[in-house]
Amino acid sequence: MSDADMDHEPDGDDILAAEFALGVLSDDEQAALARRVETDAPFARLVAEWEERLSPLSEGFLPADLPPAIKRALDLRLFGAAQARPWFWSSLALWRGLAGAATLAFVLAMALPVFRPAVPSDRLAASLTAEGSSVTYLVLYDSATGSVSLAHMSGDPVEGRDFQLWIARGAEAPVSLGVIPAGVSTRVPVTSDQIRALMTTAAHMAISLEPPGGSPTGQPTGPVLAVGDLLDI
Amino acid sequence: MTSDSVRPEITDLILRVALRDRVAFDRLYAATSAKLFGTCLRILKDRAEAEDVVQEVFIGIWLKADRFAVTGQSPMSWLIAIARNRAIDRLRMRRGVLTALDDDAIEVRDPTPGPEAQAVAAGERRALDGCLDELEAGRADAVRAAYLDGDSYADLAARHAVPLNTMRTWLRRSLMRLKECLQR
Repeated sequence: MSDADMDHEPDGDDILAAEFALGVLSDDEQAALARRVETDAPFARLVAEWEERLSPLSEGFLPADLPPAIKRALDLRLFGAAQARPWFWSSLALWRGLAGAATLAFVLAMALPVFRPAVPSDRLAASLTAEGSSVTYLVLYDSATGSVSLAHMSGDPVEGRDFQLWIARGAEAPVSLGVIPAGVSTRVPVTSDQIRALMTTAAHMAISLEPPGGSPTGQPTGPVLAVGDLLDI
Repeated sequence: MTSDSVRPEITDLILRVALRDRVAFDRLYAATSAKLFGTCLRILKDRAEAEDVVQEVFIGIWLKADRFAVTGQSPMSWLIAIARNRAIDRLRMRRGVLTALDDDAIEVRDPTPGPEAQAVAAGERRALDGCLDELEAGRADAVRAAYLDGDSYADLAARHAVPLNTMRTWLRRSLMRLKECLQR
């Protein structure tokens, strides 16, 4: 179906996003636009807006209970038989897949301020990336549990060096949250009142490359592998 | 966006799933699988197929949870969009095999949408219903059939006995009028 005239109108992308969100286009067109959503952030936003706009219709989808066997089958498909392993090792293949998500973490960092809700939140998130570095982490801080969750998205450990996590407000000197296991997801408890007080949207977090055991000076000495602002979520 | 009370909890669970939190994944499944299964079931009208697709939906949620924050969407609208997309993909795959439309299956519809108020704030539903009512009757039905049953332009054109491009023009105008109406 060629509708070039329509697509060149100012609203072309918007109506295309509506049709895609509704799912009425031909298989080929749906597939082509699904690929476009992956790479074209403004278009993806239009699609999200239409999904939101049409979502009241979803009341017509009546909830239906699933047999418990379905959840077991799902877990098996997702996590395999090795249920007992620590959560961050749950699937090596999955982590390989996530390495490609580094760019998404970047997109997240760029896009979050736009969608920042006006309501106050006790949860903060940051996407840590840096130009010239393949190391990417997604950070979530929850004041209720008082811990920082770090999701490792990409980047390999460096032999003989440690990753150290920092928080800093504006141009103030960074405060260390300690050495983190390099290249895996982890959780860091926040026990110091000083650090807890720093956990606001005025601060940023960073990961630097340090000698084994961490910086000997109490300040970052190695290159910053990834950095990002804390954002309200 | 929505102001429903489920939002903070579901949002929180999705963000935790993005951090590969298995406990959060189990809780998200418990909280939303019935609605997402209902979505697949309505579109596919086949229980075994919907049971299979709903697993794909949750695999997709596990893999794509880190993108949720980017969309700025309310959590249920994001989750239902994933379920609809998967179910519609499967529907099209199946129709590709069958080639012809099964009219009987289309008639088997629940005539009365129940009081499923969890996913959507009542005010938003009223606003959209009001705007759909402003469209000509057949066109509001076409929007609903596309959303709830996964009908494509080809399906809708066949049912309304109009050329495909006519249906496309109708629906495009209807969607733009909907948007204008919702902005009023």
